[in-house]
Amino acid sequence: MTVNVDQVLEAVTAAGKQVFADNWGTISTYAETEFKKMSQQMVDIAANVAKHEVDASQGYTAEVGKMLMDMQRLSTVNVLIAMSAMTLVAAQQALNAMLEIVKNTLGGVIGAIL
Amino acid sequence: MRQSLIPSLIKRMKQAWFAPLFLVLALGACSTVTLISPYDEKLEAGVTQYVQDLSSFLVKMQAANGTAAGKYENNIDFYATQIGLLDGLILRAEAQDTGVGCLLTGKAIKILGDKLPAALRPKPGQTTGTPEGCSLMMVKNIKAQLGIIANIHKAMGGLNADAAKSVEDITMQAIRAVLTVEMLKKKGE
Repeated sequence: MTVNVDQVLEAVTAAGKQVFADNWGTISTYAETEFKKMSQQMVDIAANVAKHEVDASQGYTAEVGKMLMDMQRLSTVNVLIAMSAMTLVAAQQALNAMLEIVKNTLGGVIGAIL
Repeated sequence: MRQSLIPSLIKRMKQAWFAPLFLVLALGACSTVTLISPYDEKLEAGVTQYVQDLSSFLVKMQAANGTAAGKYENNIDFYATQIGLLDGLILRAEAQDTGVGCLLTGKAIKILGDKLPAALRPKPGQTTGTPEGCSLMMVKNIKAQLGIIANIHKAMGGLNADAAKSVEDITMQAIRAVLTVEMLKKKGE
């Protein structure tokens, strides 16, 4: 069975949207770019293993393909961590903007009644 | 005579309407809220250096593929140097880490469950992780990838263009994740 990039991308994006549903808007640009690269890389690995079976001077063995998939798993973990960090950065920025407004608008009023 | 501020404040806090107002004031008094670790210039510089070194190495290895110069045995120095560089970054990240580890957001843990890599799964009773723990894990992942690159190099006897491209694309993704987080922190400071 031949798997193309779009099929992998669709599955990966659906999973990502489910996991980061509440924050998808914040991370979608980064996530969609990285998911596309991730899908392309996985399809490339499969294609190179298939190529090697036809011509041993091209591509690489299934053993190397497996090692590259292990590398890909580690990259995926880093991407997930970055996506989580992005949601925290957005939350931090929103909180600090809110506190700045509170400080500027209510600070003086409250200070006056104490 | 002016009354002391503290008893006056306590008296006012007993009034129900004042409690939320006091909370707002207390929050307002805080300069900023910090949910992520500060921007780390050395981490950014370190991983950028690593990616530059790896890219040049892969170009050289493709050119030398099939010759003695392209064999793993003749390039052990490259791996030793890069492991040293990454170990330095890991040591630095460990010094800032509290040992709690890195956890993804609660929702990610709930949905992915057992599919999450073991290192990202909460240990029994663990409900939180730290941003420092996440930085440490990302650099450790890059080092683990370098170990796999060395194994691929050994297994193939050299690195052909197809292997070099896959290795580079995958490594770049891991490094881009670190740099994306650091750039965000830099912008947010």
